[in-house]
Amino acid sequence: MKLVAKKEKGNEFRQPVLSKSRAAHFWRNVFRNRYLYLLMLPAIVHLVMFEYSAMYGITLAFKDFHAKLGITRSPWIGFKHFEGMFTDPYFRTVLLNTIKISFGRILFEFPMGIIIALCFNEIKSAKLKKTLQTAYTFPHFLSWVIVSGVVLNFLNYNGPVNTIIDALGGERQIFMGNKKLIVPILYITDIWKESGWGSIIYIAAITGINHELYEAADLDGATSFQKIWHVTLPCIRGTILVMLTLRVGSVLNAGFDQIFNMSNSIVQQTIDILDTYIYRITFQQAPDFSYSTAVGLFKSAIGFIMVMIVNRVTQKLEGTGILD
Amino acid sequence: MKKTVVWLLVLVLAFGALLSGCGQSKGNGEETKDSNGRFVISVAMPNADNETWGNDDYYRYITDKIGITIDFKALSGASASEKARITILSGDMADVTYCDFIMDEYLKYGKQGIVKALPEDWEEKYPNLGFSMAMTGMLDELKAAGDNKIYGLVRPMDRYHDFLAEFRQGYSEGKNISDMMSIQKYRHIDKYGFAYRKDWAEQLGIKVDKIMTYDAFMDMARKFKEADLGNVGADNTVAIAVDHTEAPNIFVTAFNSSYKFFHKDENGKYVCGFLEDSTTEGLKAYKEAYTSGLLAKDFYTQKAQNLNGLFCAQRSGIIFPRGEFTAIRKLNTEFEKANPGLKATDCIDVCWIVSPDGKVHGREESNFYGGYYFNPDMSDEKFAKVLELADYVSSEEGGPQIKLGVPDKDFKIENGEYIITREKTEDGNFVDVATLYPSYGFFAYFINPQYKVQIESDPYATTLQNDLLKAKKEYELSLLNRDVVRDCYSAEDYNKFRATYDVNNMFAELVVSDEDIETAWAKKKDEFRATAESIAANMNEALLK
Amino acid sequence: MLKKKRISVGNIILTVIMVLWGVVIVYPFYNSILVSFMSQAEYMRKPFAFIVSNPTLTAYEEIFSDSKFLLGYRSTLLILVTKLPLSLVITCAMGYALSRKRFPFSKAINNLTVFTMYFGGGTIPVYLLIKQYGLLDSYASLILLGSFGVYNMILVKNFFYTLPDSLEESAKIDGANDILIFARIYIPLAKPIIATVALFIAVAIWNEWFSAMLYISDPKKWPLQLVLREIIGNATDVVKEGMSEEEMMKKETFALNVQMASVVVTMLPVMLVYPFLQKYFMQGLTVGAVKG
Repeated sequence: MKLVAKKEKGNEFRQPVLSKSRAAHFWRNVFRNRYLYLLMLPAIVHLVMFEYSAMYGITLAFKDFHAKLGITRSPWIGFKHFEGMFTDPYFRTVLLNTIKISFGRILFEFPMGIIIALCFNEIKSAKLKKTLQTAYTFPHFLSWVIVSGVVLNFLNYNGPVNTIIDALGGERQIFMGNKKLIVPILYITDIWKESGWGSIIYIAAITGINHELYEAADLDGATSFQKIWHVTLPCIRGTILVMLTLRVGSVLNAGFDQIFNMSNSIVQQTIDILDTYIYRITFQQAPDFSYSTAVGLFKSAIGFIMVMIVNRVTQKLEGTGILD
Repeated sequence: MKKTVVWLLVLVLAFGALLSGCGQSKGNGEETKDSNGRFVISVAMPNADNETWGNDDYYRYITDKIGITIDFKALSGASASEKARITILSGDMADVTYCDFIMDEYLKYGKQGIVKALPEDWEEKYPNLGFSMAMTGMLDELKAAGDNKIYGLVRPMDRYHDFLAEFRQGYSEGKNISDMMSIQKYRHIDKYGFAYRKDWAEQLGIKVDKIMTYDAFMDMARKFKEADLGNVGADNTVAIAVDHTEAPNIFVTAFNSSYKFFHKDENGKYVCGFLEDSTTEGLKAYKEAYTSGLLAKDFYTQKAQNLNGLFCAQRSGIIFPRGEFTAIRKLNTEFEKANPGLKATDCIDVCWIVSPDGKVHGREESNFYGGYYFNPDMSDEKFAKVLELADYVSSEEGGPQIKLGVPDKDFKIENGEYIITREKTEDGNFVDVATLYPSYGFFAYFINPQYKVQIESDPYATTLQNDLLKAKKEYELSLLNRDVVRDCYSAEDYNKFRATYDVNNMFAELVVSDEDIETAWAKKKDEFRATAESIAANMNEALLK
Repeated sequence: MLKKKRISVGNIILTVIMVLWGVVIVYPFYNSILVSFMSQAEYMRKPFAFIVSNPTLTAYEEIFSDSKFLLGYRSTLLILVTKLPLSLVITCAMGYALSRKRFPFSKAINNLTVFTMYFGGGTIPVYLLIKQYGLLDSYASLILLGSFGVYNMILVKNFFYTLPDSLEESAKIDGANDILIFARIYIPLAKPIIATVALFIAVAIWNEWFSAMLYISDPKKWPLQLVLREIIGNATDVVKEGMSEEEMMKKETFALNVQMASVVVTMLPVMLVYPFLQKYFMQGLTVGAVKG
């Protein structure tokens, strides 16, 4: 979830009192703001130490890494790792899985936040609303390590869900070991964990809608549903679009934490995504640092390109990009 | 935007240069000596803890003997091998690092020079270590693959403990251990023993010897399921408590004991066991057992502890515990705790299965587990000390002793026999050496696990084992051809194949799904047939060389 | 009149559905707590119940019988008390500075900062870096890594953005420098957003396991979540082929009641603290957030 500042500020460089050379003016401006630079220093040091320095390591993707030689002195091998990647049929499976699961999430999980927000808006009792909201947002604050433990217990063959199915005369299901059910289970558990949290942003947006619009609709004799369709949704359209484009931008993130913690040997291939694949080729089977860096770079690069595209789209739609 | 890109490049390059400046790491291999002038050797093991491991009598006894100091380093828990790999590959490894042994990986490390190779004359200098390595049965393959160089130590298992003295004799006479292992008399079958409810079998009038055929076994399972002697309700009974890694060893092995290997057929050519028709038969039996409710519905998620739970809650009458003897002792304790009034010795017994034709069609498992790699920056003198330790724990004297504790304190030797003098627990067993001395976690597993000695200090396990061995003797004649190559074959696609088509998972998947097992399996086979056949062809080619 | 009544019927149905979904969200947690109070034998005989007939503490006794969990708590708390203030200072200072858009390089710095949110070196380069800095197997790696969060910084930046410029200008006339203005004037005004960001950071620290898994080998230094993960152990098959009997026994596996007790122990602090903090983050997120 990304938040976007909408307010533009006309805070340009201060005009020089006397016209001097541009360079002198520039450096004077730098000096004038020295305390601001000081405030930024810790963050910049952090970025340089842990982010930008690490980016140099990306060269590994084009090298044959030898621990003895280190990153810099390992020999260059060009695009060999990428060739290997694209000829590996399993890589294709994983990439497809990632895209499939990710789009499924957009299709099924994304609207849930909006729906919940709309429903909340209809609840009249403030106290109930608050209690429910506490319950709805709570799972967001737990790690997938915890939640997977809770979910595995809940969907156990002898667990509550199966007991209910059994009591209703249905057949007990092996939820976590069923290749057809596992992907829906991923969606549902993610909705269960995150949609309450995801709704907050829309609730905030709905709170900001002008009340006169609803009153006018009431005068026209609109039903609740009509009010949602003709007033609420158009008013939060901008928020929805921004959130959606952001979600599409990170399409290659299909939920590592969830899948890593909920997977088991039977469904592993069905829900193997890029991130879990990268984890495995880095640490488990025949680890090759260069190759896994190459796969990571592929993912990172596609992700970045997607974000740039999305940024353009939001700029077109909303007048301001998400990166501003 | 353009400005930003320029800045970005400048930043990355600047810090890349900075990094390359300190690019050569020093590693842990520098010559560190303690105040007594002994070498300090760092050892990375799962769950190691220097405070306790480096501070018990057992540790002091052994390190004094060799004249070293050990600095234990923890290597996570369940993810120890992942950790080991990353430290080795990033040039950050401890002097001695424990890791899973995978041939492919071993060769890669060796050829890149990121692990230390054993000195040329290691076999002459450390004959006991040479024997230990030979006992893995793959020393010849290792030599051939690495141009006579050995890049680490592989740990032999205890499978030949009955004949250890004879093997040692043979080795000292210059015999080839791999050849010796092929001699029928020394053969070892993989075990699929189980524990069952003796009292239930008696009640149902089932006669059980120490060994029963597959059909008799299935018959007993069905009867147990039907009778529900634990009174848990028909839906809750699970005849056989087993997980998906062990289940194929019951059902599929009964029909094809090579189902998960590339093995030599009668013409001496390699074939893929997955693709054989007998595997399909076994798979059908497996599926049958599952659908008729002999296995737990979610058996593929069962862990050892849950299996014990099923058994102790009287929902199952048969259990395949991992780690037979020790596990059964633990099972007994748990059983008595969960069922006050029942005595484990009256209720539980152990048994082995033989194939439907009454013969044991077992395969020999490869005789190694895990390995040790060494820091390449270590000096030869220091490395000599490490090898000296390895040689000592492999020796005729050191091997058993290392399993028994500190001499004169925990055991003594009278007339060439070991007399155990350790304290006993309430139930009459000796306290585990591992409990007394944390550092046992390293020394006892370093190269030579002489398990038998330890078993002998446990009267209950000894009885179980002796009974089984006696019964087993009659069935030992129908073993398959021994062949080690399948396990240390180093073709890259072979490892990939094993990783992608994990047979235990594949079977569990098929058994659990609603599809007809034969068609589903045929479809699955088509998926990997080409790859499997190319690997087999590869292996045959290597065989010709 | 008639219409009003119809709406309220729909409203009741909706409310009921919402309450039911709330129950669906809460119930699994209740069930986990329930199982944690069962004995292994009881669970195996009768896995499902709405109440425990013979509640026992055996599972809790087992998890506290060794120091694993206590050590986990210690590590997590240690990281929390050091990383939280550090992270807050770095994040807020950067957020404030970048919200003043007037100075040279501001655009470039902003872009370069946001860029790291979408593009990174990847696991291995970062690992090699941590190794180079000598931070492996030390708390410092967990404290320093991720102590500056770009997303949180944007939240703070957007908040400062919405405050009127006149505040700053009048202080400037009085001769105060930027740091003083930030500390004396803007920080007190930013309490809701700081509370929100602090909560986010704290929760992230509490839930951290992945970097610990990569960088911390010593189980004594593991944070709580990693201890829990090892116990739930659902991602790794504990028994491997060819393992010796002794080793299999050394690999611990845990019964479900013990697993659930560990889950409860790990989430309890979040459960207790969370309802009291809820109003702060609702407030903080709403201010300076998206307005349609």
